[in-house]
Amino acid sequence: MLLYIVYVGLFGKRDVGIKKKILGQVESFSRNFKRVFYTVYSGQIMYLMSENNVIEQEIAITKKDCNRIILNWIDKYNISKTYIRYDYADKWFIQFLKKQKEKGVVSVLEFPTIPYDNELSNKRLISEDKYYREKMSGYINQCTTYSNYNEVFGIPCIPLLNGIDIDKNPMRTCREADGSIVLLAVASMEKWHGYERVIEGMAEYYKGNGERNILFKLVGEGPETDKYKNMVKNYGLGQHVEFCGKLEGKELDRQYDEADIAVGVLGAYKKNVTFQGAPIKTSEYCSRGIPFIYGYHDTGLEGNEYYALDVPNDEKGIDINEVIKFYGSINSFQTCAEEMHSSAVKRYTWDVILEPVVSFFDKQDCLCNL
Amino acid sequence: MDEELERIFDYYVEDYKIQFFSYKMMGKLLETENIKNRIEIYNIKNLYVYGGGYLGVQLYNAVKDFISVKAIVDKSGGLSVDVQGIKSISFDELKENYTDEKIIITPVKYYKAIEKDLKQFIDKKNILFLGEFLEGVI
Repeated sequence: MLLYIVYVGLFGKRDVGIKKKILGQVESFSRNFKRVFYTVYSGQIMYLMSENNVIEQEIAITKKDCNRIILNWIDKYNISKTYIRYDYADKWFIQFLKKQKEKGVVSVLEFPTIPYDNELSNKRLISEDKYYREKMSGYINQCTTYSNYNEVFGIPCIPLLNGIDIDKNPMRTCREADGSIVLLAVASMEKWHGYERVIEGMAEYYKGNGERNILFKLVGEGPETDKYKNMVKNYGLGQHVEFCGKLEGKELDRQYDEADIAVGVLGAYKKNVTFQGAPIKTSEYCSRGIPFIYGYHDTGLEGNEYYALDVPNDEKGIDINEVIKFYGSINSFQTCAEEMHSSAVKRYTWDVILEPVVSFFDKQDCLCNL
Repeated sequence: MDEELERIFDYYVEDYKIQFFSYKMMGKLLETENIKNRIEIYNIKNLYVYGGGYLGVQLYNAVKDFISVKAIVDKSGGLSVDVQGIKSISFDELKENYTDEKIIITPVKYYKAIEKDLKQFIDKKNILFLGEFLEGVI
């Protein structure tokens, strides 16, 4: 029995991405282990869930409460394995790791982002985490992350890619070329998406009398949307930028069909100039079969894929002439879509990605049975 | 750190968390769309608010235009906020008048003790914690 421990909510408006990811992982673990539970912490209540149903719930004000409750569930449901999504380290987290180790629970700790220091804005939290995270290696034998590290805080690490549900990201049907180039960004419009770089690049392009009709469509809404809208207004790009709002299902599929090039993460430098990772967006674009632009070290890519344009990880506007050249370099968009999708099927399903984690758990089981 | 200091440290953390959550919930109570949505999801028609402090009165103000709030319940029978026009009753009065309404508990620190008292005559399914009402999994 495996328990996937999460210390955050999954069902809020802004939790769509994390929910998709965690439930995808849970589903994959369920195919390998007898039963998989997961926790959700929302509204100061710790929930124990299984297959989308609430099994238990208990009020938890502090992290100490959360961990006490989880330890009780570990006993009650005979949990032998835990997979923990790292939140931050504190006294109670270390105590929790110690106690679960004493119970003989085999555990893997996932770091959603490494390094993450720049993401913490609270000085107390930064100091607390820095102090306690060095103690984790005494109680955890394996961790995972989405960057290429062999070890994190002294814990051996399995580097992972971000997986997706291939069925929910079907291959697109490419449109007929009509001389224009349609760029598409599907995101929750956070600052690290950096789409202002595309808008600035377009403003520069048209200021220099660029003749190609470029249309930039933004699907999704978030904290940066108003900023982008103001930029479009100030640059007079209303005819070239379209804000589509949140779209799902068939409507989203249609946007992929009607676009030529997708736009990945371009503001990673705001987190870290040497940022490396495997954002879920890349996996989704690959599964959809749409060539894309990105600006960071993607650990899931070789770096020489003909369908991916790697731009510098800085604040400069995107060179639209480079984008036009990239567009022209794709001989057949439909063939490209087929190749990308089939590669995604082989690389981006959670079953494939989590295979080394499952093997780790199996190996520990064998050692226990010796 | 000796045991006594550890305990003091833990109390500080607990107090901080309670204040943090109270502040967060004050903010969540301003999100009218979420309030309307949650009322609908929980199918609340008539409600008692437990707790005559800031959170209780804020909750009353946040929901009063959408549902019937029967009263604010407080152990003392009064409100600790200086406002007029809100009916407040004591725990014993609630016990006498309660039929089958939902009740939302607002004091964070004493939730468990209050829940235990209420469970003597109220079905568990009708008792909600404020955080649960605002953000809980359904």
